[in-house]
Amino acid sequence: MSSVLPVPYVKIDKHGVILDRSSKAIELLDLQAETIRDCFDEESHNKLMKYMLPFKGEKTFEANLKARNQPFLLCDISISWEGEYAHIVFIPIGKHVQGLEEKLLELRLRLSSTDFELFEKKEALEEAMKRLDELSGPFIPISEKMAFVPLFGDVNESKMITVTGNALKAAYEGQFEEIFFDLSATGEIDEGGVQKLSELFRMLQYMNGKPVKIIGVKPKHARQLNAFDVDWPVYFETSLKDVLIEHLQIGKAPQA
Amino acid sequence: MAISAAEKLARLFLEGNHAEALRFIKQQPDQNRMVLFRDLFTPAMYMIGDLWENNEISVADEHLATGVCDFVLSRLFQVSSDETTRNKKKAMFLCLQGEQHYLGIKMINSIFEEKGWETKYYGASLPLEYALKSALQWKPEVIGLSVSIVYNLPVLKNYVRALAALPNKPDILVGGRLTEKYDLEPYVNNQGIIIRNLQQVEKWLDEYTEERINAYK
Repeated sequence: MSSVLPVPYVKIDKHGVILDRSSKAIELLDLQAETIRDCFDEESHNKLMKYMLPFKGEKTFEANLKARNQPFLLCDISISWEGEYAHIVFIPIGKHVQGLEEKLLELRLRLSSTDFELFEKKEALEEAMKRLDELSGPFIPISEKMAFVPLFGDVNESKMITVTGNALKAAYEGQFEEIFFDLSATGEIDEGGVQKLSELFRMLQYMNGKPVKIIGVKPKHARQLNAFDVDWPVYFETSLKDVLIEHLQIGKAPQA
Repeated sequence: MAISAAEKLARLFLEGNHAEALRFIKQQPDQNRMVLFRDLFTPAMYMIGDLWENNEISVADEHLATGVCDFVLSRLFQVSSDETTRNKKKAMFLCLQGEQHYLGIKMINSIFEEKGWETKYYGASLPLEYALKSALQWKPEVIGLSVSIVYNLPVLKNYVRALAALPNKPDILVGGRLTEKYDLEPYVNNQGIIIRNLQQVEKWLDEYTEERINAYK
């Protein structure tokens, strides 16, 4: 009956002698194998021996088989004992691991061609770039109610991600009624930058309840900001100077 | 219960945590390569082998740990490329064809570099014909072979015989996990030197250097 099982299967006695094997097991194993030990690679013998005393239930472990045409064949071995006899099923898993091995080989080749001095310089450079991004959008509280964020240099996605983190934190900690973003010192704004910029403005609006204000927009920026279909949740003001004059006058008003 | 440093390293390898593994190694009080290899890397990898034998991890886990260990070794012990290579003694290292256990010989290679040798490290599974071709051109004084699988022992014989017969008569060192378990002398046949562990390499290297100095006296 067991010979028609669709998997390699053997039945052994408590001495490990093979009593019965399925036709799949005959195909898989060395013809000369008389005991279960003969079926396993020497390095797997210790592991096998841990399962050779009868126990209850079934157990599964990985081991290398000595197959008919392969010196090692990694298999999942399932074993259960029934009185004096054990039933053992072998499922080759070499194929799954093979993919992994190939990946590892690729990595190893990559590793051997990596110049680690360069690699470390690159890491240092990335760190410096991040620092640069942080400094390119400082969040400056001008008064208790007013904050000012000048954006320096080109605005791209990675810079905006860094700026966004800092700006949200600062806006949360302070109680600003008005936040001004100044584009006077801003270079190019690319699509990713526009996207992240509008996201930041929207988030700040949710937090403050008031839209942010943008100043210092150059004609070039006007085109870039308008090029992508973004509904800007902001007010535009002309320049920092005008804004400050207006605010200083408001500030003076009660005294007058 | 406190875990040993080697066990900690083994865990980091199995987690794939190369950054933490690097940091951990750099924190060790003794930064001597030999000490790190002998007391940390080697026992950590043996522990990983034991975990497999105890059915606690799979071969896939082992592969990951090997990859991470390889990365950490490469990262920590890279030779700087601008070092002058003139008048250096030369050694090449390889695993026999079909051998994938290359970490040991990678460490040996690193020890040689530390001692001022110029080395070529071929890693896993280098067919004999390539090894011969390379050795014929480059003329290393030492060729290190690694064997870890019993099934490959007959092949070892061919490697040793062919490489020892090269015109510049290199010294053949044979190492690997099998050297501790079996007597490899019949396969090496007096044409090579069997190296059982890292300490023996160091000892051999010191004696080799001494002999050279004496020869020039």
